[in-house]
Amino acid sequence: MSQPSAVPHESEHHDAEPILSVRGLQVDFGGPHQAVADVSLDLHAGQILGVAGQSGSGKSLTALAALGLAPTNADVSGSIRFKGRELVGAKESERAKVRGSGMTMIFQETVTALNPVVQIERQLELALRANVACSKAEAKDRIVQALQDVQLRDVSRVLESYPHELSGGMCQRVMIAMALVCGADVLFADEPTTALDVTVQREVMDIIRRITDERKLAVMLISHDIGVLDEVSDRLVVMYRGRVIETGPSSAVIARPQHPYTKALINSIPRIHGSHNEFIEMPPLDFEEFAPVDHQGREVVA
Amino acid sequence: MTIAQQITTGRTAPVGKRTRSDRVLTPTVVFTLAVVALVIAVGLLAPLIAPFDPLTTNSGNTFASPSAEHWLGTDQAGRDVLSRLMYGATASFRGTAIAVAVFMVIGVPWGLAAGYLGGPFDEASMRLADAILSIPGLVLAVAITGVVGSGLNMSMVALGFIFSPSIAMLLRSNILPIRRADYLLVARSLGVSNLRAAFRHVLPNAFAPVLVQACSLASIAMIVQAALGFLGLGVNPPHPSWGGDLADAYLFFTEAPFATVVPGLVIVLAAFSISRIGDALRAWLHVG
Amino acid sequence: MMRMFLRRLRVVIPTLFLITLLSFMLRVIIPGGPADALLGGSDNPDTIKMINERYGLDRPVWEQYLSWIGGVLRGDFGISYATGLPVVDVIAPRLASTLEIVGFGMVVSLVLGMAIGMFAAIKRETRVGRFVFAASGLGVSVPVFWISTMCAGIFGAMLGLLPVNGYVPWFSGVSAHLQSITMPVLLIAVPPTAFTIRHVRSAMVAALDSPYVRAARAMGVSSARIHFDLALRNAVGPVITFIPFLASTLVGELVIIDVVFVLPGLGASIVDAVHFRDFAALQAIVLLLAVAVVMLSLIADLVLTAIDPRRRKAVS
Ligand SMILES: Nc1ncnc2c1ncn2[C@@H]1O[C@H](COP(=O)(O)OP(=O)(O)OP(=O)(O)O)[C@@H](O)[C@H]1O
Ligand SMILES: [Mg+2]
Repeated sequence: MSQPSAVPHESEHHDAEPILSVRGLQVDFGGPHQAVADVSLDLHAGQILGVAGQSGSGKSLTALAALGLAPTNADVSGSIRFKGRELVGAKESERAKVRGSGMTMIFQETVTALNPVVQIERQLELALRANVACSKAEAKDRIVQALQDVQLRDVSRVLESYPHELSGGMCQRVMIAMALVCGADVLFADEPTTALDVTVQREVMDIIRRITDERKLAVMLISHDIGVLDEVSDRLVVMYRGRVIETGPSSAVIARPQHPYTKALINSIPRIHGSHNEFIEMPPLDFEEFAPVDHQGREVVA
Repeated sequence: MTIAQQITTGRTAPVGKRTRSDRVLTPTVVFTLAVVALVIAVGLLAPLIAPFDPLTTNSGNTFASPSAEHWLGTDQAGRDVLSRLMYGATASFRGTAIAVAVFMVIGVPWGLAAGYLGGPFDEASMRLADAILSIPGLVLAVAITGVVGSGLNMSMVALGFIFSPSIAMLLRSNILPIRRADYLLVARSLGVSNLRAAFRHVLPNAFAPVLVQACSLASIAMIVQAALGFLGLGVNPPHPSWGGDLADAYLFFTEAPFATVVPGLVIVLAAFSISRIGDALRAWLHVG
Repeated sequence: MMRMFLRRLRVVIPTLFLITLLSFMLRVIIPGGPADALLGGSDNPDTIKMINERYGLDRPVWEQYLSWIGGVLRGDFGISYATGLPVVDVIAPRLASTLEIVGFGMVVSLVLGMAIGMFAAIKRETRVGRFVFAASGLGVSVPVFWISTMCAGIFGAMLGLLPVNGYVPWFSGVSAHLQSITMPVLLIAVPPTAFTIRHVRSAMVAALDSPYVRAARAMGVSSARIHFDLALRNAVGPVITFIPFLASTLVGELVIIDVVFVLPGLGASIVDAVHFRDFAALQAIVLLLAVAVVMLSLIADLVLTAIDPRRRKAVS
């Protein structure tokens, strides 16, 4: 496996081939700082990679760039390999083919992530038919199956509903079901529970964990809350100002954080539980002088 | 920012708060400001700077082409077109000013009263606004002008009246939050003097969109005024007005198409400039 | 649905009442009274008295209003001062050309406005998209009396391509009929089309930038499919809400178009009524047009409630 960058990237000693492999990703808006300066990470089947970092550190942009949905004024460079195929620089038509059936994404928005004037069934059908050719009856079966997989009760009512008739938690489940019917191998989940009640957060996280295991999905789970990531993710990436500054198995990173920024993040867990505000207002230290850390056994000098 | 926050922090929503990157004085805005300034200046100074009397006819020199003497030629009665345009600016500027004055004088107190008093007055006055606005503007303008008698001043007072509900409704909806429950809660907990603070903070925000709206209404007023002139209901002929002159010139379109083109262009340019100033104001005041 | 209808009626009925008052006021605010205006300032008291009696103008104002509105509800708009005929008979023949010009004008504005508006929204980051948007800004503020005189002058008087004078009924020849309405329809539609472009564009841009479009794209739904769906579903509501405004704009411009193209429509009737001081006809026309606009908004609201799930829920 080639390794063009000196920064730590996630799990380079992993046995199986990663489904998605990002190397030296940069996203530039032409401003003084690169929004994503240097990100390398791998997503493996059946595993959740947690991504933590404060607001603006480039978490969402990394996922969007991988999908080819970065804002049109963004300049994306580096390498994004999906099942061995290079996507950076590929034709838009080719990237569009990967979206949905290959990689997909769910967002922090819940109710507004669904078209307000279209019934849920039709929205699911639209997503399904965009990726899978099948008969009407088969489509319905798959949709019902997916909704049951995300533990939605009263499926027939949900199918007839419009988004505003459902709760935030239900809408997020519908989004996950939509990702499932697309048949994607890679799921980016960008703060999928931030907008939800605490109890519902837990249920949605459990669903994500379970479908990851059952369907052998490769998941990138973005969250402000490193405590949540500790519970559900297999491995962790900590981002700071567009860079990966610490990475490794979740337990190792949480138990023995090396980078001062990670330590600050972890120390803030008890205070921030349930509210993200204090976290964002953490003292504006400058951690850039510290070397990135890879828990795979060694410290990498940038 | 909720009203409660505005009151407690003493901060207002970002009226007038600009970042350096927002350039307000773009070349277009400078140009449109110049056009409006020119119309006003020419309108005020027409008697001093117009080369000819706009009413002096010369049957021996009709439809003259532009020349050193008559820069824009002469019309069907041999009158100097440029001079008539200049005096037309006087009428146009005065008419627009009257309409703006009337809709502000009626609309602002109306909107404030409806928003602040609420209740039956608000309800009744908004129905009245609905009623006025549901009559197509030009139709009502023609009807009122027809009834009270043509002539510039009356027709523009009528127009101001017709436009006043737009101002009132906008202002009302902008100050409505003051009466919202969360404000009253805060006001009570902080003491009544905050009511005054609320008005101090909320009113400037409420007025910014009104100014923007006033600009676009002024631009429409200028066009409607010309339309009334075109229909023979504005300035009484033979006195010069852009709309009236255009109507006269149209009768002789094949002989002198230029005479129809020019007043129209002037109207478009002036009205468009006023509405562009509204857009610039919108950017400058950060109105949504 | 029924509740929504009743709730709207609570707003519509007072509005209609105020519209009748406003229309009636036209007679009341005449300086010196209608008879004086009608006679052009004649000072013969006997004539004034006679006219006042004939048209019931000697009675108290509220009594006049009640008898007027009573008549209106029965379809009787009084006697035209200018012709001595019932106002209805003066107005009715004027409806054909007006309905046609305004109706076709509406169709043209909606079809062109929606197509161009969606195009401008989808292409909003390209030069073409920005140009279309800027051009629509100009279209909104261009005076109809100017473009219509220009076009009538150039295409009619100078080039002789299309007639500019009068309305040919369809039974006098379909081709001549169509020729006679082509320019009026296209010109009356200029500002409404520009308004529609801007309105549809902003609705579409809001939809295109919304989280659900991003989510749909992430799910692999193609751009074409997304645009089609938004156009079909998300843009319909805003356009329906917009129709009463369009109608009102079209009717306002009809006054100009009727005069420029010498059409026998309601717009011309208004101008005639003003010139002949026919206040009974004037009142009736103003009232009819305003009521039509209010009814159109009511219908638009009902249709919107029927098709928009969010509204449906809000009222049920
Ligand atoms: N369209 C854009 N134009 C310019 N800069 C942008 C744009 N979108 C994002 N950025 C910049 O990219 C940086 C990273 O954004 P991103 O959304 O990835 O952050 P994030 O880590 O997801 O933050 P959050 O936790 O708030 O979601 C931000 O600092 C932002 O300023
Ligand atoms: Mg983000």
